[in-house]
Amino acid sequence: MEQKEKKILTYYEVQVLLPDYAFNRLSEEEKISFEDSITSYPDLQQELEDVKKVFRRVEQTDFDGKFARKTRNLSVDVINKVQKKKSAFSFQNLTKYLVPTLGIFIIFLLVWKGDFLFKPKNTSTQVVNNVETKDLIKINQSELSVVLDTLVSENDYMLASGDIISSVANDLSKNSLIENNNLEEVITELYSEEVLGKFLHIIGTDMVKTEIDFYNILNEIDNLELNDLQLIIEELENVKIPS
Amino acid sequence: MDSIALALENDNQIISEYVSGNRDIAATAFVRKYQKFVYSVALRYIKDEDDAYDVSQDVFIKALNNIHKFRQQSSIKTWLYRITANTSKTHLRKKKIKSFFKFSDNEDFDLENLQISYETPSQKVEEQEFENNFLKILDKLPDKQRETFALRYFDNLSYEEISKMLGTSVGGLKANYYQAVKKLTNILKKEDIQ
Repeated sequence: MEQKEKKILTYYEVQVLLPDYAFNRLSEEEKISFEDSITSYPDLQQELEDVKKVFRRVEQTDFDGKFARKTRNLSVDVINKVQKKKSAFSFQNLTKYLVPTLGIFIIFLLVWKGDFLFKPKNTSTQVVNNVETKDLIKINQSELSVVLDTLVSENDYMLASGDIISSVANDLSKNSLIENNNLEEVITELYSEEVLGKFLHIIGTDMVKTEIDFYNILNEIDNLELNDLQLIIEELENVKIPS
Repeated sequence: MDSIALALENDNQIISEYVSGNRDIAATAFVRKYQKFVYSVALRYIKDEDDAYDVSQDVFIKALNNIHKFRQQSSIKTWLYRITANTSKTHLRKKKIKSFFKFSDNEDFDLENLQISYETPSQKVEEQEFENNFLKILDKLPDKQRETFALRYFDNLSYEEISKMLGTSVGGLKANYYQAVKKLTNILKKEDIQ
């Protein structure tokens, strides 16, 4: 049988195998190879002796037992801590998830209902009033009288009056809930709209050129007292129209 | 519960038991299997027994909370080592910040411990002294050498496993191990405590 050729390891190779050889951690093959090679390096031989001598004491020391003693109650403590964390989890959830959710909800609510919460109540009315005042400056009282003094035929006036009465009657029947104190205002509004509508129809678009002018006249009439309106209507009824 | 926990030795068995709901039994088995390993790693990093114990608890809680994510691409020991090393480093950082603002009274506490240890029989005291001295000398080594030595010598891990834990090549680890053993031998020889 052919004898296996001895493989001599390098100095470095012997060095890195030295601790494992000293602590009996080499395979049989590595062990033989190491033993065959270390004889070539006397300083490493001495080193090996020192390591074995020093670590004999270390190997007798029960580090494992020391760690076992120190960690004797670790499993119990870990389980207790896990259970403690479980009970604390619900509160953590409350702060972790509920608070941001509530925050987002509040922000959403503020954005959604912001108009109602933050907008001053009278702003819209004020704007409208401002517009009305601005617009009213355009058509003054004398211009309005020109409109009202324009000649119309008796037939046209009678037609307009009939329509007014019928529309007022209709409206009253629909809005049965209108209170007595509002009734005068409703009649006045309807009346003024109808009268002016008819007037505009009669006199054409030369006098009242735009829709804004029409609504300005309406606003003017709104501002008039009921007595004034009645006087105007009476005056209109007494108008003698030349044939 | 203890006897059932002891029966769970296989890692896969422990994980499946834990995931299926037998949490306390599986957790007990898991902690018992790896408690010495985790504690010794934490102690090497932190160098304080009480803190190492607290950190070990945190490590196991973290591991148990994430055990369902463990993909078994590496061994549980490798996974636990990484968690322990990271938790210990975080603990040290926090401790550093705390000590910056507050002086600790650890010295008094250590003295008290020392007095208690003197009350034990002399042989035991001598043994404890050697243990403590050896661990102190171990602490003097560079981190990589210390960890390589501890994982190879105390935990009997293969170079391949240590390589995964420390992210160093097997060749590098062998060199580190040799250097660590050589330095320890020289120091112990000098201190004449062998």
